[in-house]
Amino acid sequence: MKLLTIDDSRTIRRVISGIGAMLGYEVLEAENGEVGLKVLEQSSHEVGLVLLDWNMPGMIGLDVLKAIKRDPRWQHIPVMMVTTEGEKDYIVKSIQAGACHYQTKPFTQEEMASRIMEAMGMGGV
Amino acid sequence: MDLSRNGDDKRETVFAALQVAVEDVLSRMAMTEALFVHREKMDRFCLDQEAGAMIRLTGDWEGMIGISGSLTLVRSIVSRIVGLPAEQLNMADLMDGIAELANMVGGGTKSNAGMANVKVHPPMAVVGKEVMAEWKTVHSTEKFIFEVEGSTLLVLANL
Repeated sequence: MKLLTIDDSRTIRRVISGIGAMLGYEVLEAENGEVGLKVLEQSSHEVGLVLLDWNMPGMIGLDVLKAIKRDPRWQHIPVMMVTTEGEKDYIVKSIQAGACHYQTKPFTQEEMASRIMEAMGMGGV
Repeated sequence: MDLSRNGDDKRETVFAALQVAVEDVLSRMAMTEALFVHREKMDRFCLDQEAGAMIRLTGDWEGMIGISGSLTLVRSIVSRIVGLPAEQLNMADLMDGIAELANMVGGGTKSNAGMANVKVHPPMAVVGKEVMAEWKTVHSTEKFIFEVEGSTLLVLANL
């Protein structure tokens, strides 16, 4: 099973890739929502979790989340929002749209690893 | 807490939130310590170190937050964040890294201060030994000086 990180910051994609590798997952990377959906088109059967930024050029994370949850091929894939937006309103909108977890930046490696494990149904570390 | 206007006392609340955000971002993402040294007023908003980034806030609060430091320091911080040796990082990595630092400091400030109805815009970054970026502003800018790994990290706030 692979993880898919959709974030316009290559720094954050690298951080998540490193944590994913530490947990034994291959991590696919997309620099925006449109590319992320294309990756899902090709590899959705391999993706076990999408880690999704909110503020990105083009499609914002919430729209990407809605697109994932609208599509019967992908709607079963859990989505974790990973964003600097910590307001309750953002969290509520994400959960209403189908996100299963919400992680604010900044985060420690341990926090993110634990969240990934939880989202993958393996409990926290 | 009503933080809907940029009054002096409320601005101090936001500055305190900014200071916590800087310490939090460096601690959690880079596993390093940012020690607040002192702060001073500037009559301009200028990124005049070798690497810098600025983020704009709009909405109930309007203004800019910037960070800047030497290439050596920023390379070290980004290296710690991404877990790669500093010598493997190129200029694009440093640009993206410092931009993301500014993004997280801006977002953290907004959250810590409970700033409602504020949009944090995408960051811009400048990296290079001879590069300087300056914005004309109406109000004075607060410059917060931090010590990180023995070097100076500047954090600017015009709010």
